[in-house]
Amino acid sequence: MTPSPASAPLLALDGLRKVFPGGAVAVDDVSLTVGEGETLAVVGESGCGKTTLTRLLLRLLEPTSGTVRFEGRDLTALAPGRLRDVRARMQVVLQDPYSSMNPRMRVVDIVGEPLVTHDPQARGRRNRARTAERVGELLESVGLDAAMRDRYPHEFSGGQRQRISIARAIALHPRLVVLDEPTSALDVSVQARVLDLLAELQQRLGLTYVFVSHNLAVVRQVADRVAVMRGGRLVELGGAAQVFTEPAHPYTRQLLDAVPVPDPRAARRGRTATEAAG
Amino acid sequence: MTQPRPNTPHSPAASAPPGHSDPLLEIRGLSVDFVLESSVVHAVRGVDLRVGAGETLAVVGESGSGKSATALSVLRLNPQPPCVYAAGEIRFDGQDLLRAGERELGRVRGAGVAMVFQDPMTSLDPLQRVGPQVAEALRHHRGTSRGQARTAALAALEEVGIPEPERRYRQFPHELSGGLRQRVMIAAALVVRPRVLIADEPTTALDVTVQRQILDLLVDLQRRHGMAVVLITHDLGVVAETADRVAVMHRGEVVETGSVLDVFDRPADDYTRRLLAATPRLETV
Repeated sequence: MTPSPASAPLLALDGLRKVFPGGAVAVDDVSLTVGEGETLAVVGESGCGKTTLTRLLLRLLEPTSGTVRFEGRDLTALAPGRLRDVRARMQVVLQDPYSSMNPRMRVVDIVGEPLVTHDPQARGRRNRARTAERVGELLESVGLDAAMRDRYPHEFSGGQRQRISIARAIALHPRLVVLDEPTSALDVSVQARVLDLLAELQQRLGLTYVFVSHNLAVVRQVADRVAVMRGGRLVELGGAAQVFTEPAHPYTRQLLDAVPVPDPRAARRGRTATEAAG
Repeated sequence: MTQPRPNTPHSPAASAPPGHSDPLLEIRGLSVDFVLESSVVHAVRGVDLRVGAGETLAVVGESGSGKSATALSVLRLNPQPPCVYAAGEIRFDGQDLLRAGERELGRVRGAGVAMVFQDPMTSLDPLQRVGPQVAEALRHHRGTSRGQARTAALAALEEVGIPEPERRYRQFPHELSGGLRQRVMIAAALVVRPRVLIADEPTTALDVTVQRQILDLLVDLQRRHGMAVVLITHDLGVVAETADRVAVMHRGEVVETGSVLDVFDRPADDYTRRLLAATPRLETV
């Protein structure tokens, strides 16, 4: 998880701005870079623009102004055909994998879909067995059983479904994976295992993560650097240790203070202190 | 304030912590089944819980642990069918709520036990202004006059920290933020001065800074009114910050119960230990 500052950043956003019809400014002049192999967390409360930011950097939305550079190329200026090539190397995992899976497709087709879309050799009946085999490998790499490829999404638990969507995301050997609240719908014990899996895959495959979350305790665990957003703007950007221990912006401090601490003694100390002050 | 009511029907069981008052609400051996077409789900299996006046009991567990089904059982709010209250009793104010008639249960719902849910948008009527919805509980359960109910509702909105209560009173639910809507729900629960407040994941749908405000509000209101609070949550942080005692539920059973300090310091059950270990923390070790 060590960033390599020497090389050019894998992803660079510059002056990114998105104004929706009607005048709502969802993302306002955001500039940041993400280095190869690092995890940048984007945190903020609902409506802060973090989801819009991910849609912009994946170029699922057109920015009003500003640029998104991935592997040194400006995505906003890329022709559709070239964009498709680039998209193989930037993938996304969403909060609720169930809503992004066709319930009538078997896992082999869900995970195999990007292979078939991007690789002509994976198409056709003759290559079906090969695709199925590759899907089996992918399922095993996310801690599932290869035989599960013949099942349907509803046969899986929430944690297993998130593993399936991770398998699909890594099918094309991406360099960047955008994780948009990947564990927010999961129980805490399941969340812990999915986070472990994400860390292991990052190590093994040299992935770069943009990790969007409202959960600061989770971010503390996974992030190398943290970007704090509020009202579409980037209010703070820094190394995780620094942001969590010495936040520069009062809003970051406010966010951190609001997190319920799973330590009853600390909680009681805090309350007594507040009452003494008030 | 925490004086036990003289007519409390049961003396505390031998396992009650020393010095603890009689429970205001006591659940004994509760089993709840959901009878489906081809199977029966034993959602709650022999659960014992108790909470005294002025005390906050947190019921913590993951999805499917039976914590919400337990909470909903108190006012018999689980949908019947498919729900069947298979065994046990729920003692409040000298009666067993599982066997109480609809009239008595209505009285308890109106004045004895109030509930706050996760998503206020689904419990508020979207077509009605919020103020009258807060006042309605009083009119319905107490027969309070329109004018007096309005005054009491305005006072309740103010008490839960809603700015400009006069203006908010006339607004519709969609005109309020999530945090304000949850405050309205809390006002609606408190306007009848319940002795027990059951809050089922009251802050789960809220942003963290708003969650902080609502938790502080609940703690403050509880202290002011000496209510018994049952807080259903999946978040051990919320437990640590609000509860006196905690019951950990797993697969329909209470696997561990005790004071918050004891359970966090010395978890006796393996599942509790795993839950604590899996909870991400802000401070790194």
